[in-house]
Amino acid sequence: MSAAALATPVRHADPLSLQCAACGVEQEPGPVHVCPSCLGPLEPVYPPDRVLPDRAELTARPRTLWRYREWLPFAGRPTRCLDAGWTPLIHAPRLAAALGVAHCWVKNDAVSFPSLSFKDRVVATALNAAHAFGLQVVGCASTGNLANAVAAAAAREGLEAWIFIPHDLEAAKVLATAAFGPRLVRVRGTYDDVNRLCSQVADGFRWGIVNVNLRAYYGEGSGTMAFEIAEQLGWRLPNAVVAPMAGGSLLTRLARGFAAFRDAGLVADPAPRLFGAQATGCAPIVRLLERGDDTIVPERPHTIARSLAIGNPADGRSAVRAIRASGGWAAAVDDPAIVAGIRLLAETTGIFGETAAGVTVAAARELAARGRLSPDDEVVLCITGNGLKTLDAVQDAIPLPEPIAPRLAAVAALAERAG
Amino acid sequence: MTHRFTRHPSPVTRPPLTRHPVSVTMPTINLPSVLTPFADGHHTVAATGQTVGEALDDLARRYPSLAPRLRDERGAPYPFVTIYLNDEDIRLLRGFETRVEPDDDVSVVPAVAGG
Repeated sequence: MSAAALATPVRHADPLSLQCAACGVEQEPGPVHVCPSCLGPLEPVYPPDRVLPDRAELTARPRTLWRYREWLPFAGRPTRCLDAGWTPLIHAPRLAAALGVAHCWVKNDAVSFPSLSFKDRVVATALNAAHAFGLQVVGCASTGNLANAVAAAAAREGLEAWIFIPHDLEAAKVLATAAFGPRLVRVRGTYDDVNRLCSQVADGFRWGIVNVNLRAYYGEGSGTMAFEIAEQLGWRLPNAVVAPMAGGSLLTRLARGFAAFRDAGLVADPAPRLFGAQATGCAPIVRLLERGDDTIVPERPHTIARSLAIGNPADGRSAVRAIRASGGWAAAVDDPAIVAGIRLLAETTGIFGETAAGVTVAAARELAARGRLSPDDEVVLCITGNGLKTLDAVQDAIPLPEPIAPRLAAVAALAERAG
Repeated sequence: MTHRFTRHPSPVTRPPLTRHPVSVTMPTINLPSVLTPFADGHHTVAATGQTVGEALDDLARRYPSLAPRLRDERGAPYPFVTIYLNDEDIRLLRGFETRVEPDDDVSVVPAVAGG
C-alpha cells in the first residue's frame, strides 16, 4: 500500500450497485429499494471475479460478522457497527433428546451485541449503507427487535433515529428502545399499518429507513447467521435448520448463505433442509407452503409472538421457494405451544428466548412429531431474540412461589414437599 | 435541522398543484415516487370509478405507461406491490372489486422488509 493511501483515512465502505430481482434492471448504489421499471425488489450485485478468502484467512479475522465481508454488500472495509455478529453456537444434547433427533445446536442470537436479537446483523449492514449515502437520520418500521437494534446503533453512531412501532408492543421492547433516546413513534395499528406508513415516510423524507429504502443492504446481514453456523460447526453443515419467519427474509438468506459457502468450497456437505416456524395466529407463509400456490394471502395477526406478527410478509414467497428447494417444510404452533417451547428451551439449554424462540422450538417439536425431522438428523435451531424482552408472554404460565420465613425449618418443609 | 426533504416535499408540505386537476369529488390515488415519472410527475391523481379496479383502470387510461406497473399482463396485482384503500390492504377487503367513495384514498405501496 502506498504512503498516500495510508495517509487517507477510509471514510466509508462503498455500497455495491443494485439489480432488480424480478426483471434484472441494474441500478446505481443508493437508498432505493424499488425497481423503477417494474417495482420489484432490488438486490446488491456482487462482482463475480472478487477474491474470496479460504478457511485459514477467515479463521484469522476478528470474530464479528465482518469476517465474511466478501459476502456483504460493500467494496472496502466497513466503518460502522464493527462488532456485531459471531454469537455462540451451543450444543444442546438435552434438547435433542426432547425433540427426538440425533444432535441439536442452538444458534444463540438471544445474546447478540448490542441489542439481544439477530436484528443487530441487518442493522450493521444497513447503517454502513446509510453512512456511505450521507444519511443523518435513520429509522425503521418494527415489531420490536429492529426498533431496539436501530435505536442502539444510532445512539452509538450519533445519528438521529425515527422508530415506528405498533402502539401495543410489549412494554420491555418499547422501553428498551426509548432508553436510547430516539424519536419513538407509536402508531395506532398493526405492524403492517406501520410498514405502509414507513414506506410512505421513506418516499417523502431523506431518511434511511433500514427495512424500506435501505432494504437491499439491510437484508444481506441475515446471511451471516448461515456463515457462522457453518464455521462454528467445524466447516460443515447440519442436516436441518429451523428458523422463525416474520417477513420471511431470514429463511431466504440462510439458503443463500449455505449455498455461497458451498460454492466457495468452504464446506462440502449437502445444503441443509430448511424449516420455517410461525405462530398459528399469523402464519401466511406456512399456509402458502401448505396450499402449494404462489400467492400470499395476507392475515390480521393475533398471537403472543409479536416479533413474528407480520400479516403481509414481503419475502414470504421467496422463503417458501427456499424451503421447497431445500426439501424442508414449515409448521405453525399456537400460543400455549409457544410458551411451552420457551420453557423447553430454557429448561434443556439454559437459554431464555423470546416468543419467536418459543415458536421455533415448538415448531421443531411439531416437525419431529410429524416425521419431518428424523431421529438421525443434526438440527440447528435459530434463536433470534432474548426472553427478557417478552416477559409478559410467560408471566402467567410460570407461577412464582409464595415467600417463606427466613428460617431453616421453612426450607426443610419445602424440601420435604419437593421430595 | 436534519429533516431534509429530498426528491419531493413531504406529504405535509406537498403543494396542492400535484393533484390532477379533474375533480375534487373523485377518489384520490397516491403514487410512490418511483411511479411519478409515468404520471407527469404527479404524486396524487384523482380518478373516476366505483371500485378500486375501475379507478386504477381510469388512471391507466390517462397514463398508459403506468398500466403495466400497476397490474401484470393478466390484470393481477404484483406480489411485491400492495394497494391500500385508505388504511386497509385491499386483499383483506374485496380486492380490485372493493367499492370506493369520492373522498377515499387509494395508495400504491411497494413491499417492505420485515422488522
